Formats: sequence, C-alpha cells, structure tokens
Amino acid sequence: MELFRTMAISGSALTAERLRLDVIANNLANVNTTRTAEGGPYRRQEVVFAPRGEQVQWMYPGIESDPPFRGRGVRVVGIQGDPSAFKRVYDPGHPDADATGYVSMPNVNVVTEMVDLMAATRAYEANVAAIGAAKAMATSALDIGR
Amino acid sequence: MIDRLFSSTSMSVITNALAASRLQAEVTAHNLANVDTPGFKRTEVLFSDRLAAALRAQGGARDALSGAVTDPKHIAIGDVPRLEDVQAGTVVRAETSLRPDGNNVDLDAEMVKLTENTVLYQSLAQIVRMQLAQLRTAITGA
Amino acid sequence: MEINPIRPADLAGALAPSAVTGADAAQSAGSVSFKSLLGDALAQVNQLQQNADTASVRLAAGENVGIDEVMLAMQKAELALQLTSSIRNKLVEAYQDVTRMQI
Repeated sequence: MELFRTMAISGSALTAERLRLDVIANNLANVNTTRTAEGGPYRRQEVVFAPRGEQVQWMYPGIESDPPFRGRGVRVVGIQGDPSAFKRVYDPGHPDADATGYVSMPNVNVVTEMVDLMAATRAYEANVAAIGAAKAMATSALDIGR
Repeated sequence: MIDRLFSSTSMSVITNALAASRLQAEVTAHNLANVDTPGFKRTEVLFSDRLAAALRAQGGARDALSGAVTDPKHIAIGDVPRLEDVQAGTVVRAETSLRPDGNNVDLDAEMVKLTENTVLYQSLAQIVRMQLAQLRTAITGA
Repeated sequence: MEINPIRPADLAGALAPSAVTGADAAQSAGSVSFKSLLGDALAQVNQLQQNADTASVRLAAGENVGIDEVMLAMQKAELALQLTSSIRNKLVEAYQDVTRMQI
C-alpha cells in the first residue's frame, strides 16, 4: 500500500535520529574520558546523514517532474570522528597530564551536544507525527468503501 | 452507459486530487525525514496551483483564438487543458537555503503542510463517498 | 466554470420505457437494441470488476496502490452491477407488461 511506503520513509528517519541520539549520549557520557583503548582522549563522534532512494531530481532542480516520486527517506552513511582539536587543560596533578602539566581533554562541548540533542528529538517527534498523519489518511480512505 | 456513470468532471478531478494528496504525504514525509541531512533540498508537489490555473484559463477561454497543430498529440496554443487532465507533479526547490550546510527544509512549514494535507485528504475521501452515495440513490431509487 | 454535476437524468434515459421499443433484432436507424445496450453494459461491468479485483490483489501483495483507489474501484464495480441489474429488471417487467396486454 502506498501509505505503507510513506510510513517507511518516516520510519527511516526514526531509526536515523535514534542512532544520532545514541551517538550524542555517548559523547556526553565520555566528556571527561582522557584514556581510551586506542590511547589518548575520547574523540567526539558525529553521524553522517544522506537521503535514501533515487535522487534523480537532484540533477534537475527547478524542473517539474511527473510521478513516481523516488525519495525514500534518510539513512546514516557513517559515524565519523570529529577532527577538531582536543582541548588542552592545565592540570599537572592529573594522571594523564603530559610533561608540561597539560591534559588533552575530549573535544566534546556539552552545550553543542545539548543543542544537537534537542534538534534530534524535534526531528524524531515530527516524523512520529508524519506516521500518525499517514495512518489517519488510510483510515479515512477505508471509509470510502463503507 | 456504465462509463458515463463515473465520467463526470468532478469525480475525475477529485480522484486526481486524492492521488495528489497521497503524493504530498509522501513528499512531506521525505522532507521531514531529511530535515537534518546536510545539503538536502526540499521537494514540492504541484497540483492545486495547476488546477487553479486550468480553472482560470477556462474562465477566460471562451473567445480565445486557437492555434494550429501538426500532430494530434500536441496541445495548440490557446487550448485549455481539461480539468480532469490536470495531474500532480513534483519539483525540487534548490534555489533556497535555510542553514549553513545548504539544507532548506523548514520543519514548522512542513508540519503545517502535513496537517493541511491530512485534512484535505479526509475531505476529498468524504466528497467521493457522497458522490458515490448520490449515484447509489439514483440507481436504486432509495 | 465547466464542471458537470452527476445527473441522475443521464441514468433515467437508459431506464425509460422508450428503450423497450428498440427490441431484439430490430435495428431501426437512430435507436439502439436491447442486446447491444445490455451487452455493452455487461462488458463494462466485467471490466470494472476486473479492475477492482486487480486493485485488491495488488493491495494484498503490498504493491504501491492507494487505499482510496481500491475502495473507489470496488464501489464503482458494485454500482455498475446494481445499475445493470436494475435495467435488466425493468426490461423484464416491461416485457411482462407487454405480454399481459389484452388484444
């Protein structure tokens, strides 16, 4: 059913935003981790989103196309490390301080993570609403046959 | 005879409008799914504007001149598309940008479209149901 | 604005007693025979029922068909059948009226 496909589009967003929330939660949990398995402090992680489905229309913006519409939602193409520099904090007493007394702290900024968290939550809720809308449409279409 | 039963302009237009509304639901879902995708450009559905244009054109077409055609499939200049031939289409709006990464999906605008479209679809379904009920009354005399 | 409403009068034309005069083999100019009228109607009813069947099967198979399309197809098939059935009943009634006439 066509509305199932529409719901699947919204479903793909729920999965993607949920993964993003997990990554944010992990960043926040590791905001003070100075010692990781690979050595060095924790490096902030971020998700990379990309649209799913054929994007033929990408090539012809502004040109009107006829159905079928080929967008299929969103997917996570990868989780990558944030290449920005670690924070250097002066704390000679810290077990991981280097010779000059500085500790390299994770490049996680709590405020940034909270903003991302709110954006991800808002997107999640919007897509939940979209599924509800599709369901309402299907229900009223069934009434045509009543 | 049976084909004349369902060929009224309004029933055909409402059927096309229902299809357009389904397409709108899909397009809005796709836009909302990609609200956080870098560089994503939103898609729009074109139907109500096309229908409105056809209505206006019909209103003004009575004394209009009509062009000649060399192929039966061509639409002559001055010919007005029939209302029941207006179909939905989509277009990618790449010329705008809302955020530094190029994404131009306005979450609030899409949510409004979602609500409007749902109500529209429900109304169209209701209209179709009433059109069918009219036919049933005419046929069974009840 | 040129939107034609659904006119029950269009149906009344098919059900009117004047249809009786185009009986059986007689194909007088300008009038339509019962056979072809009913035959066409039945063919169209059959087509509509096939459309409805196809649409429902496609829905069950998870294909990309809208619920409103399926519902509409089924309603159209039902109404077409009802109309054809009404016409048939009227024709039979009219025929019986004619055979009952005292000469």
